[in-house]
Amino acid sequence: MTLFQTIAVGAFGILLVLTLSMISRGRTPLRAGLAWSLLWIAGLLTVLFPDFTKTLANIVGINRGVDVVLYSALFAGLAGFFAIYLRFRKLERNVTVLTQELALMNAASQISKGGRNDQGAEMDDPEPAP
Amino acid sequence: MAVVIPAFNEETIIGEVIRGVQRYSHLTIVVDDGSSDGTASAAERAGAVVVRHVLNRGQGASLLTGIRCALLAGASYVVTFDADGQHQPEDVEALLEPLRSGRASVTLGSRFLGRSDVPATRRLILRLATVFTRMVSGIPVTDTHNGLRGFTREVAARIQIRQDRMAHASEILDEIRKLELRFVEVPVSIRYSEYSRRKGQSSLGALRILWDYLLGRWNR
Repeated sequence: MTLFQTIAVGAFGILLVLTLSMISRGRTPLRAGLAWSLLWIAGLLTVLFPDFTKTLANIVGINRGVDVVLYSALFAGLAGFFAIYLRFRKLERNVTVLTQELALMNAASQISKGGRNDQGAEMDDPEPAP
Repeated sequence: MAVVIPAFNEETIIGEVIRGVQRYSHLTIVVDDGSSDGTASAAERAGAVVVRHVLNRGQGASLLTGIRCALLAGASYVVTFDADGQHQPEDVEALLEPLRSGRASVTLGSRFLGRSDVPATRRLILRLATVFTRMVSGIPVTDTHNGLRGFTREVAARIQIRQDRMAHASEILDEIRKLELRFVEVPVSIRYSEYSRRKGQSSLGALRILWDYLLGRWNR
């Protein structure tokens, strides 16, 4: 094994162990944990068997094995970014719901106090005061 | 009847808007959408009920808050009104008439049916938005992004607004189609002042609205 392979295998190995530990302690959802674990295993295998990427490149019609790795990493990165963006939008929605509920909780007393310009008139739509 | 005015940093004009609307409404509700100026206190001084968002969440979110507040207050009809002085208070009556007579359960203001001096760029963008809306929502309206709307109480309680920002306008039209609501368009006048042009949506903002709307439909 080359020096790079030793370092990379070590790094991927640590990530895999950490992820499995988080799954076992319930610190990450099972599906997400397994997906990350598969990613670390794919990285491990790519580093240990670099000729495999060449075979894969030939199958999909790309010139070099390293290009397969780069394109895959790019696609995974963009997909991951989009997933995070959707998650962010959901969080924003949750913040809005909380903001609205808080506003309405505080509004109840305001409504009972006033804001009407036709004192004592019913809300069920008589003609407004001239 | 309640008028709902979502407002963000409109301290200089909100008092004037409220006083104009109060001639036609029983209850004026201003939703202060996390303003950093004195919008809330100016609105309170003018006699409105002020509901505060602790964080700025957008006009769509503010509208829903205001509508829910109006329903809590027992309003039979809800009219939405912009805070930037573009809308004419007398148009509130025009929006209410079809609701009271039972001709419709939703009224939508249209600047293109009324007397409005719409800037050329804005006119083009709004026309494109109209074409898009007719294709996507199937609703034959002439003005897709007008903040003047009227709802009966029953409809106000049923309409869902999940778009926090400006794409809520298209979402409301989707709701009209989904719930098969009777609506009419009402001619209204929009007054474009220097102030309102500065505060209004940029032309590029239309792209953001389109993105938010399409993503919202896909993610529903």
